[in-house]
Amino acid sequence: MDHTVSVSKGCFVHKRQKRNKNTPKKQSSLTTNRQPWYNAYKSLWSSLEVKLESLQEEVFSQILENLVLYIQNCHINKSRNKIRNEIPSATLLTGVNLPDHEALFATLSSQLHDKVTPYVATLQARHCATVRSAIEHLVLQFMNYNKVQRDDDLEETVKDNIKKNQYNFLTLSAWYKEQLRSKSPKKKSKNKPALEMDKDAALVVIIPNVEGFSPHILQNFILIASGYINSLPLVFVFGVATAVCALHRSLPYHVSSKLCNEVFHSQPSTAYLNQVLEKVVLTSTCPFQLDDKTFKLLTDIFLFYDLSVYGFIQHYKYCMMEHFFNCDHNVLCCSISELSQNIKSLSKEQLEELRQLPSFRRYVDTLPKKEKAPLLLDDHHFKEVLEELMTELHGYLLNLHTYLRCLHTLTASLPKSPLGKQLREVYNMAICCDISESPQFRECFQLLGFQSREELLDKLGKVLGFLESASSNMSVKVSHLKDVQEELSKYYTSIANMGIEATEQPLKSPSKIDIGENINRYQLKEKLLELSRKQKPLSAYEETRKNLLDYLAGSVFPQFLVPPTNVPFNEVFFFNNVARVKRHIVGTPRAAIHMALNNPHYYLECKCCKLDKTSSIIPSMPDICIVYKLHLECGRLINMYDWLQAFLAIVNPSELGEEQRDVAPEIQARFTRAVAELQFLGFIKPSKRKTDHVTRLTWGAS
Amino acid sequence: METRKKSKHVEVQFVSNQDVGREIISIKDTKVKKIGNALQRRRKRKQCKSSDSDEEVDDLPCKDLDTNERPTALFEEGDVPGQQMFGFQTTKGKRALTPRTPRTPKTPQPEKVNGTPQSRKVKGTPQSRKVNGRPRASSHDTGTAKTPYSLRRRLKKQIAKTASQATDGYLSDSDFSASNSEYMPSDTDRSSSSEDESVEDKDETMKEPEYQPRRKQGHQEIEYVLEADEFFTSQKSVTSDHTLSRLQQPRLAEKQLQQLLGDMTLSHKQAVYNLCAEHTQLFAKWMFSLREQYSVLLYGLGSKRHTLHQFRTKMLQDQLVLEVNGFFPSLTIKEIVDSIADDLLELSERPGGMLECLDIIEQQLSSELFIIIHNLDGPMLQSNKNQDIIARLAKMEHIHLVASIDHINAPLIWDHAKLSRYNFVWWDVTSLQPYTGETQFENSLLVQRSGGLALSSLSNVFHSLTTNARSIFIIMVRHQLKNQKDPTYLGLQFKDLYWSAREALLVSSDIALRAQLTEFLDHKLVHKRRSPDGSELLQVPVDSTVLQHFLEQVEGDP
Repeated sequence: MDHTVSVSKGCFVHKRQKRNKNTPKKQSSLTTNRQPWYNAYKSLWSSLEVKLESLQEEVFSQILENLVLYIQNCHINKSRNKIRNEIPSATLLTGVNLPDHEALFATLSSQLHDKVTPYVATLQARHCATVRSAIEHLVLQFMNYNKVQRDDDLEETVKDNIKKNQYNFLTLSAWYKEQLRSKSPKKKSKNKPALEMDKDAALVVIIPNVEGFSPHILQNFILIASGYINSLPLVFVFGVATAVCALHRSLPYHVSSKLCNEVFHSQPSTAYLNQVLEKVVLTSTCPFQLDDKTFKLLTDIFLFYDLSVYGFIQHYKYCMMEHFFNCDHNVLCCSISELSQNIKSLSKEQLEELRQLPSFRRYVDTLPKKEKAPLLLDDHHFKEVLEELMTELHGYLLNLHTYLRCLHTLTASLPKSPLGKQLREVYNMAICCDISESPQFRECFQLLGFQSREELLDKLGKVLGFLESASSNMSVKVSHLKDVQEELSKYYTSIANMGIEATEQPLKSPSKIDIGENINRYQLKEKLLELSRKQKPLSAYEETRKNLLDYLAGSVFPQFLVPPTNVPFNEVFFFNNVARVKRHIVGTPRAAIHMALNNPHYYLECKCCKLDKTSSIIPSMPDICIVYKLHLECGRLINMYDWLQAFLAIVNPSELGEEQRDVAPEIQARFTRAVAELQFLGFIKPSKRKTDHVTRLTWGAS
Repeated sequence: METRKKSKHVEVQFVSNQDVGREIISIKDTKVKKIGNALQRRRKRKQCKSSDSDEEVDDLPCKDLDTNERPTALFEEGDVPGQQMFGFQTTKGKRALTPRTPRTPKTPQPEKVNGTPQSRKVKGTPQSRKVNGRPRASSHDTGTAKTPYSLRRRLKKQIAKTASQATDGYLSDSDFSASNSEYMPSDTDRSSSSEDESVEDKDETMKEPEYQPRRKQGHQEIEYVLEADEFFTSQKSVTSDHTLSRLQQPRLAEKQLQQLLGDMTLSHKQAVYNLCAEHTQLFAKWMFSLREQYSVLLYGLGSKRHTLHQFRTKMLQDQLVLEVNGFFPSLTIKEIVDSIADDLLELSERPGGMLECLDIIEQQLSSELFIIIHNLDGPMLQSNKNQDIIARLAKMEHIHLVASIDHINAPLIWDHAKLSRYNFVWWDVTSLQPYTGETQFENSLLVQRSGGLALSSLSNVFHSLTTNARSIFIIMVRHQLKNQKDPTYLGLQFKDLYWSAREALLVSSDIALRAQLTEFLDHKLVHKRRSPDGSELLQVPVDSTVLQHFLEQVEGDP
């Protein structure tokens, strides 16, 4: 081990060890790849990944639509810009979720490339330490724009002809002219539609993170570029994470006057997350589901830490990895088409593991005695039941998600939205408890009882749409979906038809009330009270509405929206161990050090160091803990001598509690090491304000 | 006369600290009603704020969210509350470490100290203070060590006051307490028995607004808030004037220290062994997450080098591995990138720029490469730029990063963009093993540096010099050693050096000597600076003991 500590070197390379050819090549790493759980994980994740990618493309293209349009048109009214030497530019307000931006700008660049112009360059702040390097990068990117399209030899010549120090705007404008000239004949011959716009194609410069640039470089870059606007149709795209004023602040007037700026807003990342959840994660096609606590953890991290969808997806993926890791029976967490095959491949041990699942045990307990024995003993029979139950589980998942969406559409727009505005909130509630029993659910249906006809009709229409789509692309046969759908469509038509009647009725009622003449105030009051007590006859619409809501709240939702814990084998689909992932997703390095120093017993689990009070010190504790606890009692400066004396008083107390001037070297060495370690951890540092003192670097933690 | 008789038997009633505190507050509240109310309001706000949860994110901003969502899953039972880790320092200041150093000149008497646990029989220090509902909060209480004393003083005064009131017998207690301060002057006039006390009282009532805070220390939340102010006001902590030279052997030599520590058996050996064995079980999982494009980050108290070493030998035997000692004080990021480019990829021509080099690595690397970094938070890797480059490396498809951190503020070096590039999976691998390798480069006050490193580098440079230059250097060293005891010595004057060198027939001109000196300056053998009177001063920036060794060595083999 010690060969990796050296006083002259910090990097050590270990190469592959040369093996004899006859020794069998067994790689420990490969064994993981062959295991069934790994394959199941891989296939599931890659299917999700594809979906996520396409969704991302879709979401970003919505955001970027206007921007692309702007870039397309900005050079049409050229003349105006040219007179004023203005560079058309777009500022895209991206939001603070920096990790997602990389994908956003990649999409933008590829879209521009496809739709608007082949000349797109992206300038990263790290490449632009100086104006010179910024321009070099820019020119290089433009001139190599079609590496793929061109032949290799042509590519070579471009590189050879121009040296690095010649990459500047002059070269670029000469090259651009060349391009224009050479394009026109080519275009006819090739007849490519994409190349048609090449003629006066804009040169788009994307600067994804303006805040990362030093303002000085940005200013100079813009000023230089504005000098070439007549020969080069440049367009800038600035990505700003905070607010437009960041751009204004870094560009003084004489620079910003060279820009003809337009601001575009991107969607907040919460909207993006909701899309990801609704279209990928919380769907019945994805058998892997999170339980309420884990789901809450991930959404909380998103909402309160980083707002990054990329981060959310990575955390989700980690949960999935944890779910599958070394857990072969979870291969059943797959799409329904692979189910029977996977069940066949299960080994005896895996079947046994499945039998041990608590939800299955509960299920078995409900069965009559006769059926119990074969389930537990006969593997063949068990497999059949397993398949049946797993299919049911898939059906449950489909029901859950379909009706959750229905419930969500019904309740999301209610005042104060007791069940939450987002699908994720409804989901969270539905899987942690029986949602139809909850007070929020009841409140929602009370509020729904006051809904106007139009609103209700609108919502009902959407609900029917969900049911329709669910039953059409259903991989599991769920008969009740159809029934519910029919029932609801009956309601729908009856409400829709009663449009005219409903409007007539309120006109009748006021005429009925006739107040006798000559009654005093008191009598009037009595009368009105009487009237109000009288049960108003319900209108036809109200009647239907009541029936509909009773039907939904009484039979539909309670039947299908049950928490998964009641369903056998739910553990296969639902990841339910938040404790196992939490500490790995959100690290708590400071807490771990705090714990280890204050209460080493927590880690060591020895008998000697048990504390009844966190502040007490026991001589048997590791030295660093003792020294740490002693240092907590000090102010900003710590006297080394007194510290050592205090340490001695604990570790090696003298009879009379006196000062010990002659210290055993072993103890002094221990103290020295502990102090050095505290310094290494960053709790103290040597001080020059007083001899033999150290400064404390933490505020409290007493 | 009746009253006089009564006064001789003052009724003593035991009042608990808390009650006293409360009573005082009620008095003051009526007196400075407005301030009191404001304070109370603030207190209430604070209380409800901190009772919600200990997470900072729980503060006001989240209320602005349209959905009114609050994080519930981020902080749970069993987590270490932030208050404990990051709370303000409590006021111990000058009283620190007292019971163990009873004779320190500047410290008050030890019996006043309540918070410091007595040595040896420390297990469950009997502390009379009330324990708050939360068990963890007990550690906070150590901060209130002062409270009982100040309250006790107050209590004393209060009793004395009651006594004097009783002797006067003009007013009943309850009436009096309401308008306590106004009556004070007349009180002092009349009472003869306890004049000193009441004078003090008067002073105290003048200062009341400032004292207000301390009295309320019974409530934990307030105590927390107000002691923060105290932290800034009582910056000057008084420590004793002892120095390490009071010890028989003030400093251990480096070698001796290493030897002593090497011979020592580790405490809790079995427990530490068990911990390490536990960590070995995790290796397969780490491999899995590494291959899934995550980086593994290890944290927790204790050296993690052993664990990482085990990981390398067990899992990465057949892989390309780059091991980096982040704690190495002269590590550069270039060294890391270059060793990938040169040693692992064996590139024939490597571009000069770091960023270009990264691009090339990304293109060329086709097999898996594992990078192990001991202390990703090491002194040379902390800078934003270096972290950016490492994060970029970690993001590459074929590169997998395993790293460890130790510094308590290590997570501050990453922003969101870097964190997402790293894509860490965090693992707590507390091992409580000593940081032997990591701390060896540190300068400790308690260690006498043998300067082996400095000595060897010094002699290496020295041996590459010409004979004349060597002799000049030795003149400087001798001069410095001769004057080492003189605290006013600043360095050797250039003209003195010139004359002694000339006398020894080493140089013939001023310019020749300057040429020699340039070489010394380039190798940092010599520091040059101007003295106040304008002459040049030369000094060898090496410890005098090292110089002594060096001189012996040189004279040993000419």
